[in-house]
Amino acid sequence: MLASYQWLTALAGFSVPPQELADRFTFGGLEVDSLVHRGPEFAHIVLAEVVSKEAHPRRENLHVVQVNDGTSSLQVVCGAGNCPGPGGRVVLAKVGATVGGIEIAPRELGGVASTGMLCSEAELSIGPEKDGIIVVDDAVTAPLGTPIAEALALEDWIFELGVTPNRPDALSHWGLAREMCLLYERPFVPEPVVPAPVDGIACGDAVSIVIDDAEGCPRYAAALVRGVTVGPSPFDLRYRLHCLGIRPISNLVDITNAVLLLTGQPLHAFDFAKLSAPQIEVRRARKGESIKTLDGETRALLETDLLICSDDVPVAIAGVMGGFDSEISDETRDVLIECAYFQPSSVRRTSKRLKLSSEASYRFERGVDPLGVPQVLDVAVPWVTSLAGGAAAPGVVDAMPAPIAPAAVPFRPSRFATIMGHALPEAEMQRILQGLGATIAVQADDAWVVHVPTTRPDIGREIDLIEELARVHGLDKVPASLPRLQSITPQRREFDLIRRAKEVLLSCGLDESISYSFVPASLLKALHHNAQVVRIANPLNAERDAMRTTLLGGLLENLKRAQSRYMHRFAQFEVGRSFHVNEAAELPDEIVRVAGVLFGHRPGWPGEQGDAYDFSDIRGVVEVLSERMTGAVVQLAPTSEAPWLHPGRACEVRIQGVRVGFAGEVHPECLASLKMPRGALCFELDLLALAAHEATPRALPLSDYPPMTRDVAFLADNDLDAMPIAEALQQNAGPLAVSVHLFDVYAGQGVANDKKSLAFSVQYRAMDRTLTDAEVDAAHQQAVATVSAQFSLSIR
Amino acid sequence: MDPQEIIAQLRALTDGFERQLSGLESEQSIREHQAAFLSKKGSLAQLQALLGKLPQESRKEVGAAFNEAKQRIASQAHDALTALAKQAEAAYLQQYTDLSLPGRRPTIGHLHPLSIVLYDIVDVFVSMGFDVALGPEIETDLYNFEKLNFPADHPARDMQDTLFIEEGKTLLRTHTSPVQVRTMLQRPLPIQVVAPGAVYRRDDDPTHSPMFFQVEGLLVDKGVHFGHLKGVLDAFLHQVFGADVTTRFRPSFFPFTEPSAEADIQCIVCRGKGCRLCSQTGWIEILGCGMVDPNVLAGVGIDPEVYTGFAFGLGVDRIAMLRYEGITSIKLFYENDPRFLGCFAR
Repeated sequence: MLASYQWLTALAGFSVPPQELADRFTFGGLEVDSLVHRGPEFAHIVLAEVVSKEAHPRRENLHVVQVNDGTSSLQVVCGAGNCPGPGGRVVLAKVGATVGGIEIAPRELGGVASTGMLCSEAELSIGPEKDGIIVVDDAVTAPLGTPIAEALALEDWIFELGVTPNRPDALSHWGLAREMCLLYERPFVPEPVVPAPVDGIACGDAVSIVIDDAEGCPRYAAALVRGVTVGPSPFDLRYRLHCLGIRPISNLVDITNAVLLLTGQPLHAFDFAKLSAPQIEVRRARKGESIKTLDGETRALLETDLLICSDDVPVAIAGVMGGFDSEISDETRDVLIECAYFQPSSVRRTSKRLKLSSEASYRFERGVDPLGVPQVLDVAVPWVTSLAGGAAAPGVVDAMPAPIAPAAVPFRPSRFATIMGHALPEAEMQRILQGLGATIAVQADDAWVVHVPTTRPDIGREIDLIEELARVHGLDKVPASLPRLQSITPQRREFDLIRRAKEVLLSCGLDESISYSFVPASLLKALHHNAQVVRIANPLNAERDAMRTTLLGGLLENLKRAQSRYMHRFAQFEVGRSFHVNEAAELPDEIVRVAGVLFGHRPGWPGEQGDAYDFSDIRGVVEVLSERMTGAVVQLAPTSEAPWLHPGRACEVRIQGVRVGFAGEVHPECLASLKMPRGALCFELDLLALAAHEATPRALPLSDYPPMTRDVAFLADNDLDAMPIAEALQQNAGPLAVSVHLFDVYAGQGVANDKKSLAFSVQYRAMDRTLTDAEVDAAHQQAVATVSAQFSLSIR
Repeated sequence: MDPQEIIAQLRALTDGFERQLSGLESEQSIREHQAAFLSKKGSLAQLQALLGKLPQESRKEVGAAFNEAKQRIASQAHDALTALAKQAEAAYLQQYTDLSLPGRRPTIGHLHPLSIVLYDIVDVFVSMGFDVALGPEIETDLYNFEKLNFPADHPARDMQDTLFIEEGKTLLRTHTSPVQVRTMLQRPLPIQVVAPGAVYRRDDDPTHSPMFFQVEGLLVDKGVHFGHLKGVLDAFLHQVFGADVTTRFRPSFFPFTEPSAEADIQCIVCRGKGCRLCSQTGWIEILGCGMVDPNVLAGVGIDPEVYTGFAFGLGVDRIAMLRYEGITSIKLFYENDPRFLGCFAR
């Protein structure tokens, strides 16, 4: 909502500095987003008179004009077609003025000196007219040379208010002036109206109104003005509308817009002669009905849309847009001015569906004042006759199927202190409520009934009144204090688990990623996540409409972006939700997942170049994460159920036999389809499934006696897994074996082509004594013999 | 044999030991040299074997000479070893190390800046006694709007441009406030929780991301009033932005709180003088808050005549952008460029 300081102070009957008013509004709950001072930009721009006008000697379409700026005569070159002859008054930007961001300086145009510029409305941003310069009319009486800001009364301050949906009253200058009076403790007195001249048949006899849908239209009034002349509005009205963001069109249209800005009540002007009959009917649309609206579009209607009809022909969509066929034109002589109250939700439904939002629908949706209707017509009709001539038909037609009364709200003054923690004297409460326009009936001690004016449809409950009192009184006057918080049992396991998982992965050297939950469906497809996805019906970007079913997509997008930015090392994880269709439930399933991607080289140091990440790195991360989260041992087993992974480097992650996710190398074909190089390693686990296996940690007994180690190297087939051998060694080495450690894997010289050497170190230790070589050798030989037989291994 | 001759030979041996010792430069050669003289089969022992053949009266004198010679050799060897150790110590201390090389850094990942800020916020409230609650990111219209006093067809819904799954039924939650409703339905009174999480709106510009993070707070108990809301939020803002920061509360509107307010802090850059960060106003809007609307309480079966409460919500992304310099677009948070993530320490 844009508001004019000049208009507001005139309506309020007093004035305070603009910035102070802006702050006061803000602290009363009407936030002023910006305050723009109009005026200073017109320095060195003055009223001037044309002395002579001649054709430019060399350039067609240009004139050489001598102008009098009140003190001297200046020569300017002007290209406007409407440049007046001698005696015409124009707006002159002198040397030193700034017009449209450009400073005016003496210059030559086609060999003729020009020491200034004759300006158009658009160049000065005081109106829409850009095809011709301003020719000042006789209404302006200031002497030549008067600064234009003064001569045309341009100085103003424009407030831009962010009006919240609960305050339709603040969408008008009346409402803002009333608010200003309330905040400054002054009475609000509406300005008196000079009645319009009346003539002819009374309005009530000339027009009839039938309301067919009293719920959709609780009130419909209209006034008739005959014999108007449509033409441009005077400059001051056009300038005001321009400053308030509305394009001036013609006197009749401008007045309806100005009344809207003044009162908050939208009006609609019909060309009375173009109505099929002198009759208005308000009804719902019929199935299959349509209307051609002002903008020339034909709109198909639904049975829920409210229509204004004449002789059953739709002439407007109620509260949303007028019809094309009854529009005001230059030929209009008789005008019917509609002033109505439509049900807010009905207007909103129609305007949303048709994507037709206007100043009018915006206000109807929020609620205009149904009892303000006569007062609005009292202002609008004389305005029309004063600018467009003609005379009003006596009276108005005003249909109101049921009486409308101000809300009666029970109120306990003591409740204010209960909610606010701060007492307010009852006299102060009365002053504020009366300032809102409410009347108070004190029924008993602590029992009032407050009759709230219909300008404030948001106030219908006691709490609404408390809010009004609090905002006008000032929230800064409420003292801060700390509540006594109870001791409660925490229920934040999921939050804590997520945080712990992040901490473990950070210490594994991975950075945390947070990526969008919605991804291109093609990304999920590329990763062979083919389950049905939850889709956003109205995505910002049509391609990113799928709710992710895996976190890997986002991580791979991050990797791809990093690669495109010349980074070739990547280690990131993400903890977040994946979303899965569940037809049986009200909402999709959400699974908390933890995923990670490694790519490129391990971090290195000068002279110690890191090797490329391989499967063991991602496996290590999964092992550390799982074991740190649960205290239980994790198992990884080859799988063929993860088609997004390299078939020879794909594992499922199991904990206590239950699958909680996958780890491996991303399938090179998946990466190729994403136009990425191969080699990315990944894991993804269901965090809560993992954590379900949490085991209570148990301390191991610690021996102080020295350990003894025995090494063994086996020759094994190349494709034999190593860790089952380690497990078998552990199992067969007896109770003294405390650990088995694979310390070397070797293939090459000295080892047959299809073999590899696996070297294990077994540590033996007793709790109660120093071991002897003999008993260790016996245990070790026994284990080596059993294992080499079991796996058909030879000893190297 | 003449005792004097033995003593002379002994002297010759010890002199020889000393002469040869001075040319030795390793610990091992010194120890071998010492052993060649003093071990059981060493040259002194060979000479000492002659001692038994001496007359009784001269044995004492010759024996003393042997002891003296042994001590001399041992002490000279010891001195040589000590000198060698000293020399090695000095050489070790002279070793050159290129101290300019970068440290061999353990690789520790970086927590995402939004997580850093989110955990900081949550920790302040947890330390005050609030618990944490989470909720689904895909919500029903009922919990996201209806139960929060946003009627259908009401302009208040325009305040939050919504991404729908199925219009009118399911949507991506536009705020963390539905967690208020779920918590009040699920947990016993009193309720004192914060609800952090991702939220979604149909917005996309340098200061608005379609996905962003909020932290919601809710306290419902007997006797809770607006002064308490101010007290708790003041304490929070002082903890996060510094004890000397000035706060203010402006009336505002949210459908699910009444009275509603927005809390501002004095601009942390210009301290109220006016700068680009605060758009010359001297103040920065931080959060929205208010007393829980009686309709919301009644809607979850809590009697608003008996219980009152306050709620607040704040944008994590916005606070992160205020806290860290150089974040020119909110998009940076969701691109996860490793260089960007590496900027934030914790």
